[in-house]
Amino acid sequence: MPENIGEFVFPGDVVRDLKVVNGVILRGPGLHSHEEPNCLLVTRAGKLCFKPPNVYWVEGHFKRYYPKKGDLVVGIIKKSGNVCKVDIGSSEVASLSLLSFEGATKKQKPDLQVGDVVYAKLLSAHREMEPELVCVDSYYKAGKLGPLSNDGFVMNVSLNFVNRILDVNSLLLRALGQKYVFEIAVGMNGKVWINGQRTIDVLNLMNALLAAERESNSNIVNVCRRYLT
Amino acid sequence: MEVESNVNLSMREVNCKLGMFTRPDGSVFISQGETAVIVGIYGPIEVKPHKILINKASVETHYCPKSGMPGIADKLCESILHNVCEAALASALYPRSSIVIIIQEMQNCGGIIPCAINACCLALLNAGTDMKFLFASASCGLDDEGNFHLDPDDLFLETAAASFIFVFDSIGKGLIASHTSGSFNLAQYQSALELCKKAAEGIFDFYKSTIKKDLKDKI
Amino acid sequence: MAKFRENLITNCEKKFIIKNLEDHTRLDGRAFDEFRELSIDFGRDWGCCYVSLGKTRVLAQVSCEIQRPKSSRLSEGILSINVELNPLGASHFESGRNSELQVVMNRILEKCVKDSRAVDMESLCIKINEKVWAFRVDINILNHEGNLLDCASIALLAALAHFRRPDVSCDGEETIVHSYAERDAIRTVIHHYPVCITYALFKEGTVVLADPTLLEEGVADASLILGINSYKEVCTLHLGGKALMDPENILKCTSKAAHRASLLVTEIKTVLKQDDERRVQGQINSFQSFKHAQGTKSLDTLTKYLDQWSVQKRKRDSKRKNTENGTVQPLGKGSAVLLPVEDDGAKSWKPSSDENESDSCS
Repeated sequence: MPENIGEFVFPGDVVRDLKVVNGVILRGPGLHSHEEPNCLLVTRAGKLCFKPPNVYWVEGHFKRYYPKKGDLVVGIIKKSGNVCKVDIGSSEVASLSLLSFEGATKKQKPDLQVGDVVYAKLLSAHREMEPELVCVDSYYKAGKLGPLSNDGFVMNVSLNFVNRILDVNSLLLRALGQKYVFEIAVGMNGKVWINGQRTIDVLNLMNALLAAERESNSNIVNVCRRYLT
Repeated sequence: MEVESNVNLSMREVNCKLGMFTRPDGSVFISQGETAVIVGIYGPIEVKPHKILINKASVETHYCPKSGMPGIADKLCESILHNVCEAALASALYPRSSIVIIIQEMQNCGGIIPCAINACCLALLNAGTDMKFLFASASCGLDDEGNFHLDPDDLFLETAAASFIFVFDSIGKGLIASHTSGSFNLAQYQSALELCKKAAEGIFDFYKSTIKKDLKDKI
Repeated sequence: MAKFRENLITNCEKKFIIKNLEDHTRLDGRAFDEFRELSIDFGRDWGCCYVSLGKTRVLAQVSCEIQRPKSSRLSEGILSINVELNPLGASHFESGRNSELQVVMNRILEKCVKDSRAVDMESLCIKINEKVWAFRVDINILNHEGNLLDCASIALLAALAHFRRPDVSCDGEETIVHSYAERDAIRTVIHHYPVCITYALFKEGTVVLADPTLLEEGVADASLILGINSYKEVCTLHLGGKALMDPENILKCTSKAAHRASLLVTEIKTVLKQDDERRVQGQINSFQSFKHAQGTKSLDTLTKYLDQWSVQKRKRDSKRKNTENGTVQPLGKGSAVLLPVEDDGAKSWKPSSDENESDSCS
């Protein structure tokens, strides 16, 4: 067990004595392999986190998304056609085939215009290749994926705020849900789509999220707890 | 060495502010005495077709002077910064993309290169770009009588016999770049190096406390 | 091919902004004719000015050198304005390359300041047909969050007014330039202060938004740019984009812009005066705004949106207080009217001076 779990680490630091299960250490963002055994090299500044049995990562503050396989993202169509080009905020546009929607055939395809927003899953994300999106799961069902309505609003937040929203212990969305009726699609790429019944609701939600982004977790919990009884 | 008694060991006051711009992924304003720079980072972002590298990210550095077109001195500064940043960035993680580093001169009162190098490191930390190590730069000047002066300003540099700029990494505190001007002997170079190394350690501590303070509320 | 590195505005953002306009709201909660917060800072060097308007940031620097005058104007100095779309401002900006935006901005600023003869060019002449001062203003865009032009024009003007050129003396043939330390530097003569005021037009020019943000600029049909000085003289009028606008509306905008311009010019002059006073006292505080970061009360904002209920409760409380002070008067059988005690002026709405000018409602 490394001693500095929960402490701040900086690029160049080496984390030693890691827990290995079946000869593997699972490493998240900010950690890279080091020549010595049982050690990882830190490449980002942030808090070193650990999840049993053998998962390690660095939690920091990032605004730029780097695609990872299996992430659910909110993308903007940049170019339409049989294979759409979708802006997911990464260094390269992702491709999304119109056939990868539930029930889509060559004759019947969803109508996507430039500037439309989709909620999709990253099928492949390799650093050597263009990322590829799909709007179906492995059973060819759409589930919650697919084009998002044009009535909502898309906002950009930082990547670690996305994690904070989606944290199962986070009270923020629950507290907001007590006050407003709304739909939300949170993309791992920092794009968040919100839709509510009234325009003013969407506007309030947007401002509430932007305010929460600048606050620490404990403050948010304290505020939210008052509204969840 | 006989000059040790006359060494000015204090740096000018360093102030910084992180993330004050909304558009770049990471930004920092840093002022070292009266010298001030702003550094912004975008990256990894879409790369221009003619700059594409298939095995690593291409690092673009832009040094923008406050007035006029970039001159030779500005290009020199840009190339020093480019080399330092390229060495420190773990660019192999982002092939076929580019990391853009923009340095905007705000006020040049001597020692803009070390100030810009330190600002680059803080901005990269702020952006969360993967780096192999941190880097810090310190400068010192040598006057006609052989006295060292740490972190000299423009008034001192006008009359200085020599000036040294050193960049150190955070792992072994080794030298990764050095830039000198003027005339000096080897012993003087060695003592300047030792002096700057001590100062650089202070800068590494400054980075760490700044980033800790900045991240405390965000995670 | 989608434009390189440029961010696309989604259809839902467009729709949302238009919907909000119908409700008379803007995304940042401003009124239609409200401007964002402005702050002006000066550096240690003469003619270095840093302006922030909302989240848009611009740095301007004036530099000067001695040149031969242009053959068409032998007794006048030279002023060149150079807008630099610094890649720091937005990832699709490229340094050293002329883009359309850069050319348009440059031209409008030139029209506004140079062609309106705001700067006394004849005072920049040292020797006719031989030597004149050539001023160059570099305007660096540091953060692009909409309405670059207003921000740039304020920075340009403040930098020009802040700048001092070194004194020169002639002894026969030779011209000697005295350094700042040798002799007091000379201010530039500025006849009038023209600033650019931008309005974004929506819905065929019927809805006019002052000081548009980046998103609003992208959604707007057209933009109306007015260069106005504090004497309410129009120096530039630029209508870009595609929208029909009737002349009456333009005049209305102009009078609003004139009001804003005079406020801006007063602001610029006060900041310049403060800077002068500080310099006389020998303290130079360059880039104050960076050193004093203002803490944002985001937690209160979050509470506000989470809790519309508490706001209503407070209102109810105040009503109850009124009840205690009020008098109940019977109004026939089974009904009564509550007459609250009227506080003179203290609680009633004060009509704002520019109420007739604002066409928005909350």
